[in-house]
Amino acid sequence: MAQGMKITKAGKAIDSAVLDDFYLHTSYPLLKVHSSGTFSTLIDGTRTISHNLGYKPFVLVFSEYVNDDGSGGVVLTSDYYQHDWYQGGATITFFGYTKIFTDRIEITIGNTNSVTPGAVDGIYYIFKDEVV
Amino acid sequence: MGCGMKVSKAGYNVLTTGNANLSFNSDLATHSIYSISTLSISSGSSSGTINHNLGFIPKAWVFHVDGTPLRRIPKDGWWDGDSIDYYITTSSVVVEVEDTSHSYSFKVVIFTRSPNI
Repeated sequence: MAQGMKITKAGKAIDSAVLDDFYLHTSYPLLKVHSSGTFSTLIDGTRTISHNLGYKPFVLVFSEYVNDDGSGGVVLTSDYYQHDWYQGGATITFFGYTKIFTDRIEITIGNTNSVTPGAVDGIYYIFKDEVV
Repeated sequence: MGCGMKVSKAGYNVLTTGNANLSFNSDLATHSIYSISTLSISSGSSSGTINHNLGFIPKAWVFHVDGTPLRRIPKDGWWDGDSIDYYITTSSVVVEVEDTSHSYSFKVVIFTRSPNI
């Protein structure tokens, strides 16, 4: 007999066929955090964070958005965006993205003029679970 | 009386500690994986679909298999015309690509829960 545990929302039947009725259903794995942290001082460069899991895990990265001031200059904001953004201006474009490898993640922030106007802060979560 | 389950981190009283010190709280939304599927979009096509037929709009994440690494989308590439985005319906996840000049591969992760608590 299959074993497991289920917790439903209030008023929902434990044998419901609607998965959204469950707070917990152990037939479906929960994302589990492997590591998390912050990074900073990372503009026009790549920060590598090792995980050594041996497979490509789920990853979440958020970072401060870098904006264009309209005159080729830079505005460092305090707004955290999912770390996959582009900001294109008339003379310069800023971008940020994350790549996931089997042993590490690479968090990149750059711009088309290779300027280094300051630091960007961000946060990351690496999960135990594999994107298979 | 409300029913549920909480699991606290070591050293914290499960009855009194805040959510930040809980490893699990059944009152809060969780990310349980329903399925992980591979989606291919051929050159010349602008979208691809993974069906789930859950009957509600689930949370979903999509990763672009970008050569060797994975890269989570949406990808904001309007500047060079290669944006990638996706949307979710009650029956499917649809990935859309702006640049149709080449093929793509994605991993589409669908969770068991809707965004509603």
